[in-house]
Amino acid sequence: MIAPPPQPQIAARVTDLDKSFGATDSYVHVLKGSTLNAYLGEMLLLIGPSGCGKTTLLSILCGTLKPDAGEVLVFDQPLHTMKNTAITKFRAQNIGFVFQQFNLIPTLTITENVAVPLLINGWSTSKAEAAARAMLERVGLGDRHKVKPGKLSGGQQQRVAIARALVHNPRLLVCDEPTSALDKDTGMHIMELIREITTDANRAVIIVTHDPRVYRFADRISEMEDGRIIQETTGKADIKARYLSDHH
Amino acid sequence: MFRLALKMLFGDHGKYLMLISGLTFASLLMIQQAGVFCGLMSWTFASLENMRAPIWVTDAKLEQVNDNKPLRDTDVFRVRSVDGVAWSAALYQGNLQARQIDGTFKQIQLVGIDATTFAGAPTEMLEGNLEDLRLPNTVIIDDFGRDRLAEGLPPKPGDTKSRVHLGDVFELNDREARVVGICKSARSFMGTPYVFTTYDRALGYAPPQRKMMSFVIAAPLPGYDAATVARRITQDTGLRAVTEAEFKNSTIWWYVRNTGIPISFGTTVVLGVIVGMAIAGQTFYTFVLENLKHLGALKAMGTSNAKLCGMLMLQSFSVGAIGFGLGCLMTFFFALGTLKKQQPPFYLPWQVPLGVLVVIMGICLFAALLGIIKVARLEPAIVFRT
Repeated sequence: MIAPPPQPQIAARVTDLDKSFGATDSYVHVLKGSTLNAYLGEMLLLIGPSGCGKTTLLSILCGTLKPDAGEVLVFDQPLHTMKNTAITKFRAQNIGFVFQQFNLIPTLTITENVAVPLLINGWSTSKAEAAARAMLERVGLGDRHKVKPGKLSGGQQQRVAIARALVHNPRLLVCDEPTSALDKDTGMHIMELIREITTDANRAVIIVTHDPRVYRFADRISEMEDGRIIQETTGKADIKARYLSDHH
Repeated sequence: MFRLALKMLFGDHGKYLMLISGLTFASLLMIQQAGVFCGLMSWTFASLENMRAPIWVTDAKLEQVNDNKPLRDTDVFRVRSVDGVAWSAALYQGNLQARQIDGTFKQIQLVGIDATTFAGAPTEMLEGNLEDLRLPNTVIIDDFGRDRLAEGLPPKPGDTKSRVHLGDVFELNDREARVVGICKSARSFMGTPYVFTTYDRALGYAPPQRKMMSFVIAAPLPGYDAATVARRITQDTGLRAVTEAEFKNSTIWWYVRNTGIPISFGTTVVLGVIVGMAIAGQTFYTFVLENLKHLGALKAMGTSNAKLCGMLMLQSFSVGAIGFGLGCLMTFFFALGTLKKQQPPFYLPWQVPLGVLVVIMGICLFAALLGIIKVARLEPAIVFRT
């Protein structure tokens, strides 16, 4: 008898999320009952048109924004009810960030930039910088560990940002449009790097993107429209059929 | 994290130098002007430094040491009769004109001291002997007068500049005054040299008045407190008796109340605070605004508000400390120059730099608070909205 395939373990679950901004004239209802799961060992892409609520959903999912209503469970922690100080500590220990504009501090060397998450977690400077150098080796920038971000190309800066996001070995990696500030080839290289070094059975990766070229890297794609998840596609074959065919 | 905070600040050379220069300038302005103010105020009670006595007795209405409201000669005996007084002596102080050998005049501050006890005599002789004051027509001048009273006269053989020597003679009110000593003294507010002679001879030099004695100086008996004895003298004689320290204070306050000096210096000091606050506040706030994206990223990555506030405080206070240090250094060089020339007056009690340090750190706290309010309100999700 063949054993059933193991059930993927849930890393994050958001249920019936509601979020709006502004009041009266400027009121915008961004999320309207969004529900989404992210699984360990999986790369989830969150796609959809501009203004559909992808970034807001990602912000809530990683605990940088509070929902108006709904539940957010990340590694079984209820972020929607936790106090800000507890969420801040949770983020420091469990979440890695890759930002669209890299957000590297220009006055620090790339080693110091990569060491930041470890320093936030209370590591000593020498240990943090040693770990940061090792991480820079992994992203192919070991020989440039003393330079400042301004001396690097966009692709290299995003590599530094990836190293910074992973240096403290987070269980959840969130990437906000990681290729949008890069040219086509560099963007693909960055996605290959993310795919290669973030793949881990104990880590979930959530990427918000507009860029159809990166769909092929996904294990699952959740499509959003007008504040709701309207469609989910799981598995390479279905993703290819739905998003990567010539017709599409 | 705190090391990185400093690197973030020092790496932004333009803003760093702007902050440092603003705070250096503010510190310099405040310390230097307060130092000149204190120096000027110390000149106001120079007579009390040059004629030392534990208790000063004056007319009941006299407020400060440079005023002159003469007492009766008998008052010295009335003071001496008060319980607890060890001794009392008459003192003359007045402005006279000294006529030099070439006929020019110079204003001087004539001091007449008791010839028997030399109570109120200069404490440090540079040349000559105090006792020679008992010789006929003799005076002791201060080191400032040595140059001042020789101004316009040709230098003597062997001298590089004109100076008064022992044995030189000038006239006070058409009477001969022969220099038998040079003493060290504190400089007077009006910049006139001190000329010491005996009390009786001073009354001969000075234009006659019905009452001539300027002050009675006194000392308490061993075991008696000067302040208590002073109160007793006031009670028994109806005269105003104060300790040396009290007389200094009342003299300073008279100048503070009756001249524009404190307002003038105070305005400059306040300007220093405003300039420092404006430059430091605005530059640091701009620095925070420009780094808001990075601070937001740090917040998203899990840096607590408290740590971010600590980082901003450290950045602000470190530029404050550097700016204050440089301001002190520049004031030090200014002070070196003034001490050589004795102009302008400069006196820096330790309370002044301490007070300025507190003000500078207050400015830094203000600058840091502007940034802290911004950062505390900053939503970490801002990093996703580029």
